[in-house]
Amino acid sequence: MRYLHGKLSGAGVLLWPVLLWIAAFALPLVSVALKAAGSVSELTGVIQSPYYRGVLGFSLKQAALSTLFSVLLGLPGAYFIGRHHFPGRKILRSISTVPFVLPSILAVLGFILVFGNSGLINYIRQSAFNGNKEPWKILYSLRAIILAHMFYNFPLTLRIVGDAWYSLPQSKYDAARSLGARPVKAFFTVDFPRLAPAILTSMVITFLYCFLSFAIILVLGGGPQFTTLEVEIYRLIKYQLDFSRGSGLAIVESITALGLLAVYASIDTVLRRRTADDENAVKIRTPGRISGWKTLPALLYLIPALFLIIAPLISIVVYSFLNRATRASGLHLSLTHWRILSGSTRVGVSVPLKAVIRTFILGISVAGITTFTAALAGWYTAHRKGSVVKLIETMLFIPMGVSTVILGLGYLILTNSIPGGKALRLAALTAAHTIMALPFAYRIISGRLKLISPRIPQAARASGAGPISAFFSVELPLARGAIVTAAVFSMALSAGELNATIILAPSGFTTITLAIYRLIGSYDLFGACALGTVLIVISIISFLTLDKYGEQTL
Amino acid sequence: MKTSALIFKSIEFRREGFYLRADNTFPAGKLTVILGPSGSGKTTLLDLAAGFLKPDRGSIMEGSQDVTSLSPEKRRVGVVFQDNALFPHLSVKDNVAFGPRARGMGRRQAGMVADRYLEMTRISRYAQKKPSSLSGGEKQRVSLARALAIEPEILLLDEPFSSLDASLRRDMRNEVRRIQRETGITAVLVTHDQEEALSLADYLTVMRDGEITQMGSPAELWNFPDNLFTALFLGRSTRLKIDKISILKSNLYSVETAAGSIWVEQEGEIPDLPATLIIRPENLRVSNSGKIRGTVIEAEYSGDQWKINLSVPGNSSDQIEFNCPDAAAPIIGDSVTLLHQPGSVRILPGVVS
Repeated sequence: MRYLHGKLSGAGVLLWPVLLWIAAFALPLVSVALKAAGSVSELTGVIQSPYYRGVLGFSLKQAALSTLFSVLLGLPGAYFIGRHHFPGRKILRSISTVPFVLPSILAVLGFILVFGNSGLINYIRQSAFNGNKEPWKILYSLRAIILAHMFYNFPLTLRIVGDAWYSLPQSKYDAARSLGARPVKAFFTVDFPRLAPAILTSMVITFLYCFLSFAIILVLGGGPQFTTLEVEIYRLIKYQLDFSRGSGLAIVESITALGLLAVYASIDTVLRRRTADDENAVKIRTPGRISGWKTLPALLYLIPALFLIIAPLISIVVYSFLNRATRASGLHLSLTHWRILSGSTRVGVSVPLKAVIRTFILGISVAGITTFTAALAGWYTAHRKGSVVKLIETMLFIPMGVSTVILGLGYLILTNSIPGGKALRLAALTAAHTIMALPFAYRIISGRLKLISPRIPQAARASGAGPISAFFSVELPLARGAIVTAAVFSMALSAGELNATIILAPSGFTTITLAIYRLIGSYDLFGACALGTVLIVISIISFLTLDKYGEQTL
Repeated sequence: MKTSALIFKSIEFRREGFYLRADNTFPAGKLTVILGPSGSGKTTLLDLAAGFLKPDRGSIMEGSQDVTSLSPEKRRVGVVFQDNALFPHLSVKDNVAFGPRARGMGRRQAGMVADRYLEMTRISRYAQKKPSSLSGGEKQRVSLARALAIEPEILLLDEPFSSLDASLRRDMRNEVRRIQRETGITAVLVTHDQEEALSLADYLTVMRDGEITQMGSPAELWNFPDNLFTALFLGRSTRLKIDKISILKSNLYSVETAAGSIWVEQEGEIPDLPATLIIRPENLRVSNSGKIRGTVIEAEYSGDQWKINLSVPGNSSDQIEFNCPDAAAPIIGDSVTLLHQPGSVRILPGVVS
């Protein structure tokens, strides 16, 4: 606020966050842009090439289809969550945050276990038809990509639209009904226009997630006909070392994404203007229980929906305790992969165990730096107003909209021009993860600090504590929950990250996600599941802390 | 406890369309109440005194020491905030011990200081509790103890009772009064509640649009307001626009208003027109020999008496207010004549627009 002596006092604390942002975010992106600008012929070549047009077209097409089905699948759930009470409503609402915290490589792994050729669904079909049925083959196709995106992203719609629906005053719908509108008419004329911004938001977020989707395409897409810009950039820089062309594609991808966001912003403004004078419900009426004819559709929807969210995760855990003697033999209980993971092999520490240890070291470093940076920035912005605060908040928001593959490309271009090797790559990897986690950590911490009345630090000051002592003795302890949440969330984000890791990790530096990716590639699903289970535990801890402290601020 | 006066010397403070001026002394060892409507700058004045805000011009003194450039922790000013601003993560005792600790006292000694002030504010039994488990009144007691524990020279209280209900408010008011007398500290309390202001204050000031209009004892301000704002803000009163003033003899005037021609006894200089006549309700009573005429437009029963409002033909901004015992109360529409004491009437410059 206006308190505490002028606008810029205490600005010294911003030195570190700003330096980090410039060095770890702006610099790599600028180097990508410069690389692309440096070879305009490459850029025009990319735009004119029918192959890359095809890749762009496919990226957009799969994203559009995935979005359509995800939102369609999510909407009924949003209705049930927004307008009804039922046993498990709270749980369903909570676990709809799963896509926020579930690493995409786990979504892929879970998808293979459920929908794969010898997956859960085929297993059920085989049992039902006494093994006389041809297995249902879906992997490595457009359908697989869309289905995986759908299962990964429909909870977004469930959550965003469901919450909007819940806070929508029922009274206006009731008014329309009492004036003679039938339910469907009342919905489309009264509720739907006011839900439109939320639906649009969930569509745009889903579309961007799918458009920039990496792990799912990388594993399930296979061949060149099912590749997206994100994966194509990765292939160019990783296998062909063609940074110029990679940068050109990165520019095309970024412009497309930004254009989409611009269109979204303008539509959103129009939609919101239309409902600008719509106040929130004075009192949110407790929604009724699901009853009568709605029971059957509700059950038909909610049970499969819950299944779609949970089954892949449970499969991962269950599979980690199974094994197959040969490819053709049946499954049996086994601790083989956990034994390998716990490191009891003859040749010293096993690769999976090393991966776990490295992931933790990397994650803890990322959590430390991210939380420290976010706390500094949050302290500055919490009780001040003005252009500096706006600038800082914008700076810390932008990284959310940048593809991590492009960020990784930027680091590659930078580190290639500096000799340094492995240590430099590791530093770059840590920086990339920090930049990714920073927007979330900042929102969690500053959200809490902003809730502290400015009078409380003032009371400490009047009692005789200096500004720094007041921060450490009063504000910091009050924000402890948020700081723990931010640290755990950053750590989990780093642990689950694949895109930047696969690009930047120096050879020999295997993390959990990299190991899972490679194990899937070599069809060692059980081994992947053991590591996957470790990742699930990390994600669950992150999910639970977030659910407890940070939910409102995300 | 050492006490000093709080002195504002030619203070000016400007922020986004708000302009505060102050040139006042808040006397040492006394409780001064600042009364004013919301937005008048009361809290800003306290924030300046505490050091949360810096004035653009002028200086702030604690006794003979200039504290203008000192940050809050360097001043010896205790603050009780409107929303109590207790540290929610610390126990009641640790809240109170926070100040002594922050000022370098050892743990044990700070604890003893805290105990002393918890006892003074009568909340020792909650010492180990967290603030969240206390009631509103108890929280304000802790807040008071915390402010006193740094043994300040000046105690600032920003609407300390506004979140309490009526009976608690009276108790807390008495507590603050008692503690201020016991410690003999210089205290400045801000409120928008005039009953509170009148009953608590050694000195009272009324603030308006960032300016202190008048400072004096409550009785002085009540009986001899020197400006229209103070007169109208403090309690109910009759106000009549003056058309003409004629001198009868020294200090005695005949004043023409739409409600009649009224005798006024007033010492000192009489303001020029435009001016307004002010009479407190308790100085008016119904009488056939009265000179003030009006028609009853409102009659509000308040238990022990009726509060009557009269309208005056010809001037809509005029208003007559008086109190009347139950038995003799007129009803709406009645014409009434009122008798006044010439010495209880004030002529003040300006008119109500």
